[in-house]
Amino acid sequence: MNVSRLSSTELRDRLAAGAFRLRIGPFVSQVTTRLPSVVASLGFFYGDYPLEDEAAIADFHVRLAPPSGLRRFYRPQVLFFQDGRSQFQPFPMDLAPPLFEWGLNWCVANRAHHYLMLHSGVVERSGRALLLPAHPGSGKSTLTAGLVTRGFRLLSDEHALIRPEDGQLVPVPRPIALKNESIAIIQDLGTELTFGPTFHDTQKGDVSHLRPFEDSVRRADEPAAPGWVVFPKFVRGGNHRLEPVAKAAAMMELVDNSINYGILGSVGFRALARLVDESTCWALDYDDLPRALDEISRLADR
Amino acid sequence: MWRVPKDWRLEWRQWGSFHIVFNPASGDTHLLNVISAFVLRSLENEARSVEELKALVSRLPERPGDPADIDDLVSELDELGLVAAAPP
Amino acid sequence: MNGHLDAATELLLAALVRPRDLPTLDALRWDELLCRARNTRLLGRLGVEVERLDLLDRIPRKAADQIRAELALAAENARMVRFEVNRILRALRDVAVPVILLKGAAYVLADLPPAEGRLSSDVDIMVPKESLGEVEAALLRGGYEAVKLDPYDQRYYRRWMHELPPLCHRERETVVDVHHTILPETGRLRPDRRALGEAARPLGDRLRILAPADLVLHSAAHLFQDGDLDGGLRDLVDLDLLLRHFGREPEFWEGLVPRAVALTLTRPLYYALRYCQGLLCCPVPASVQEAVRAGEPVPPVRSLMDALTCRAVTPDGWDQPSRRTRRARFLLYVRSHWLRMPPWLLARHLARKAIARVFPAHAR
Repeated sequence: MNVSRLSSTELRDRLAAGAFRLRIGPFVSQVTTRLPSVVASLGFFYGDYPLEDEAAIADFHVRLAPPSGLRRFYRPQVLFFQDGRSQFQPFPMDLAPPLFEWGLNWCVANRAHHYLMLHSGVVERSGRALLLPAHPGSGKSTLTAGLVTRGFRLLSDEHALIRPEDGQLVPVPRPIALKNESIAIIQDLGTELTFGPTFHDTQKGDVSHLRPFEDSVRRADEPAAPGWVVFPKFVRGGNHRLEPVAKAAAMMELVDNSINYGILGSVGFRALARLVDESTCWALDYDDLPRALDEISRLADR
Repeated sequence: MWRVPKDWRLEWRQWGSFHIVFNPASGDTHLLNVISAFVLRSLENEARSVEELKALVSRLPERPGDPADIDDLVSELDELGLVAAAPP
Repeated sequence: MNGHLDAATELLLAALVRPRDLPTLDALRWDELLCRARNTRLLGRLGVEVERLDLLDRIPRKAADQIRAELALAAENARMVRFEVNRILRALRDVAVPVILLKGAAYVLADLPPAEGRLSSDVDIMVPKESLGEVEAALLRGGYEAVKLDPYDQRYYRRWMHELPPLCHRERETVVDVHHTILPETGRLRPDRRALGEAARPLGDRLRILAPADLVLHSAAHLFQDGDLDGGLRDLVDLDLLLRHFGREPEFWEGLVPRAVALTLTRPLYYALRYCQGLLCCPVPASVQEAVRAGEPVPPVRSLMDALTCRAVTPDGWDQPSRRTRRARFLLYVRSHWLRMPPWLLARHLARKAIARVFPAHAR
């Protein structure tokens, strides 16, 4: 049963009682909260996602609640609890919905060591995965969102999850977080895009989330084989350039972009080497998004 | 005398003329060029002196300019935890 | 034994004592167990038992996945400890001083049962007091730096009378703690440091490890110092594992209480045996149970201890602090991420680009 099948009362009650278990790709997240903004956000973004039985093992036990005490009223705050423990410094209460999203990213990154994880956007075309490793200035989320508007299936805008056993990329589709100018840029790409509210005054400016397409969520159990790794760099007013990258260099770059490569030792090394072996690797300098999307689409269609 | 410690199983990959080596003991990953890879390979199964290494390297087509670089190289490999001093 | 344990702790204890029963747990119990085990840093230990009994395929997939993930963390931890010891010895290569490896690092290097599934990567070494200066200097030359301690840690360090602050390696960010004794000299308990050194056994080429009885007594002393359980359930489990491991030899049991008496550690040993038996069903010979009553406190103290211990094995804070210094982290999450992450989460991928400067064209 999907989340959208719950009435708003049922949704609210389940979340309050800790009886809400959301399946996102391979992960089951039990969510508990009484905060109306988070309840609304979950209903809005996760309508197409399946709910797990109550008698199920959860990977994460997430709770969003205000800290106890006086801060309930003066400049109210919210805390993110995972497995019963508060994980981050308190956030302003009006940032509770994005805190949920960020917190969930943190949960995945912290725990899913049965996968090799890279900090990267991942989309799919013709059964093959295209990775967009993140580094400052890459604009990976914007590109990921842009490629989704061009018909690529979303696997993730944050984490590339690689199965060590077979090298497949495992989907974890989630709302895509866009910042500042990117919000408008993606909105301008037209098509049927659903955005959540825009949150201001986050540490990096404005943020808004793009609801994943139903197709990406429905096919979250379909992994993808490695296809391409594109290292993007947004250079304002710079030259547009798409060039092959030597595999050895790509490997070292990916090591730097990894979340848990070091933890996995030899397993991580072999899995990453396999990814590099089985993908073609590119560097893309761009300053015009539509042009970059054209370029990448052409690449994937070869 | 130097060598890669006995039970350390280095893992190698090569793409073009670049070698990547993973050291399970240190958890580090390294990018090596042809000469460095050759020297490290030579030390994987036997202990060798720096002089021996210089002699071996001098027979490679890609000869390094300065033999003193091999001293530096071995020193760096030691620093990185890839090789260790072996008893003579 | 008096004292109340909550349901999740009971579940965890039962799982540790009777891992064979794990396939019979339902999903809800598993959910609770995985959570509690992880919070008490015992999921790795549980995972080791599951693997040993070949149960990974007989428990729910999700439980197996979470266990595998935890075992990956534990394996990396063991690697870090071994390599760190290797680096410490390298830094100390010109220092002719006997080095005794303590606690976690000793368990790992000596392949003792508490090493399996372990998640703590600090290295503790013990050297003679007179050599502290020399050892410190050598470690500083080897790239270690003194850690700045926050007030909590300062209290801990003053309490344990460490003369040197913990040393953190600049690049690896691993922590070495250099001791010259196992308990504070001003404490009530004053085990003879020289006796410990004399009984120490060789470990590999250059290290030493405490004798079996001393390992147990050291662990017990630490755990029950001043009557509060500083390490929680994880440390009690370690103690239990040591007792079971060494207890296979009758000589171990025969010598245990006399050694405790000689080192003035009968009270901690009493508690150790009491709680390992009571909570973890550790088999202790009747003769030893009788002999250790020499260390028994008066009943009110004992009742209080029971209650304290039960409370102490139930986690309530983040990360039971036996070390809150900047230890080696596991996870660096996100450079370009814009969440206000606490900086103490680090991933150690330790990638290094080592292109030798042999050809100018190949320079970094």
